[in-house]
Amino acid sequence: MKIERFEELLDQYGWDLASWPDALRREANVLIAQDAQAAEMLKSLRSVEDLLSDDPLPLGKHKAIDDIFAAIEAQEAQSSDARDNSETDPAQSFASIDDRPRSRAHLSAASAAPTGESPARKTYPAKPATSPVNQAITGDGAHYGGRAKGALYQLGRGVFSGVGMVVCVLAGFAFGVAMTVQEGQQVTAQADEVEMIDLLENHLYVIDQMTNPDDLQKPEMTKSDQAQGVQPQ
Amino acid sequence: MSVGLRGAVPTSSDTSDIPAVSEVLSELDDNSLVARMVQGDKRAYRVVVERYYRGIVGIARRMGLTGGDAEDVAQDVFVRVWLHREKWRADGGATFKTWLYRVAVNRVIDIKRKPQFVDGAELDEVPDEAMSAVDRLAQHQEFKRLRLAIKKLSDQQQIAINLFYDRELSNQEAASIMGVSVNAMESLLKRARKRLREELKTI
Repeated sequence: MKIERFEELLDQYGWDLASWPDALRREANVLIAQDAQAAEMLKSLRSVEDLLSDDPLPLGKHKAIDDIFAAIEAQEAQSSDARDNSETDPAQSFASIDDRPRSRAHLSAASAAPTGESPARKTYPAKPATSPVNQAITGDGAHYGGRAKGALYQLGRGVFSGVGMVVCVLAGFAFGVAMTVQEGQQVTAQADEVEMIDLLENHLYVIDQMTNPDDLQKPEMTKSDQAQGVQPQ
Repeated sequence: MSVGLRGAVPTSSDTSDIPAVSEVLSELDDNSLVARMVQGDKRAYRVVVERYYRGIVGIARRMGLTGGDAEDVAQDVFVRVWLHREKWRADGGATFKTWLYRVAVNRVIDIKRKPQFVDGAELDEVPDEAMSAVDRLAQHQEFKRLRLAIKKLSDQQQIAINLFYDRELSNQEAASIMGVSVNAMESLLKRARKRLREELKTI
């Protein structure tokens, strides 16, 4: 075996001859015994291999392992808190993406104007006022459901809805009748008025003929004649 | 997957007889311990951590991290593995051990790629108290020389060398961690050794 082949085998099988195939190991041992350079090379590489495979970790691992489990507990507590917050605070998910500037954040609670996010906002009290008469009834009545459960309420709701419908229908009918009667009276009055005008005009024409006989040669059309399409004679 | 001594071993909420439980758990194989770990058994996971902590710190140090950084990596890896334990699939082709080492190697690579990373080759070394001062100095010099030579290798060659010379790992496991076949691993090692040998001549 030559030194070049020896180097190649060192690269291939490692620097520990014990891991070499038997035949190659025997040839290598012969070379090492005869060649000082090969022996020195192997010695140097074995020390490197020892350094590489040396266990660098001193004892005393238990503190580090305790630290690992403390970190696990901390991570789990952190993720649990985050989950609780997201469940109890529905605004949290929006708040996390709401990156609008909070210019009043540096102000103290006493000096800052209400932002609308404070639970102490006065416009919409968190706790509804109760009725001074019946403590079970809240001030706005929106949360009181006792009345809706009574039999009287159920009966009244059905009856009043039917009566209301009948009243509406009757009122509509009466209004229609009244309007029809009023319109008929107006038509009759207009017809009487036209008849009276015609009668008056004829009467005036006769009086005019009697007072001006010359006009008999050129009779003029009355308005009623014009309306009837009669040609002057 | 079998859960081993589920009936015989108290749950993690039972605090009595803890030393006996730990002793029983420490005799279980990885598969049984990991099955219990996936179901949330921290006592079983502690046995797993004790079994592999040294190996994970060792591989992180061999890959060039200082002692503190290597321990941080180990802590980070074990915390992540616990928090994502439900992602472990026993039938995924890798053993839990190789999966754990792969997570650690990837984590070390991530750290080394960060701009602020300071290589531990010149800073960190574990002195052997049993050696004389002269021997310690000589070993220190040799260790520095070796780390400098390893730094000249490619990333794959560095990982291959570090995994191969880890006493905790077989060749098959080292290849599995790198995601290559044993033949490919040996080929990679051959090139790495040659390059390392040449670099050591020049340093």
